[in-house]
Amino acid sequence: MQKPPIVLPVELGVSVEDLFRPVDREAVPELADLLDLLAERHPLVVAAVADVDRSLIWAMQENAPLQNLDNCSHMARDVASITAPAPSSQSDRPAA
Amino acid sequence: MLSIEFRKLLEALSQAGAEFIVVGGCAAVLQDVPISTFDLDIVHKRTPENIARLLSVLATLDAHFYPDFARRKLPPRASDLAGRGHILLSTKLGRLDVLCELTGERGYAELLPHTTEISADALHLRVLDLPMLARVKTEAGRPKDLLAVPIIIAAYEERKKRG
Repeated sequence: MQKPPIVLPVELGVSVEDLFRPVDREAVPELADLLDLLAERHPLVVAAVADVDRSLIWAMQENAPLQNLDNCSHMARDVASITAPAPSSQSDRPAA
Repeated sequence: MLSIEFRKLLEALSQAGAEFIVVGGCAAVLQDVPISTFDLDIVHKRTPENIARLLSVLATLDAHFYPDFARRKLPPRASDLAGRGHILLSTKLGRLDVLCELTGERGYAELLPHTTEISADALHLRVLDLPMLARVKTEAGRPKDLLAVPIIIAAYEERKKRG
């Protein structure tokens, strides 16, 4: 799978290969059955692990679990407010 | 506008003494999985006592079935919570999906060994662990569930690495 062309200065000490990696089966032996099942039924899902930006996970790990939940609530509220129908849409309805 | 207060919703359920497991997107987020979700999913213990506790707190949360185009605000009944289906509710603190069972006829008792405890302040939560979360989403096989599986797997691997 082709890696995205992300520019990372050497000084950061992190490479694109660190950010985007396939699953290391030896590191998660308890997922062996699941990975076998996925490989059989949904091989693209296994391949897609290599497409997950792990820096997003590292950022989550910096927070307490409930802080992440609060951030998730906040994000969901923001999206809901953006996608909520405008009040004026009521007047667009045909008269009864 | 839709209210979304996952922490307050969990606090209300916990303070009422309801026994439940956090599953779905919120379970993932609580374990460092970078996804977004718009509802809280729980699997509850289906004993008459727990269902009574749950119904009581759901009433205080103004919980009712959705979609509710006719604005009838139909509340859940004990028989709904004692069944095997998914009860999708709107509350004053956001959407709450009360699930009697997950894929594979997994109810509270079957899922309990696959949970992890997350505590903060006075809140003590039972949360479905990432390997089981990935498994139920895989077995569900729906595209929206499968989308989250690679992220759950990567997050679990990073979580183990961090120890």
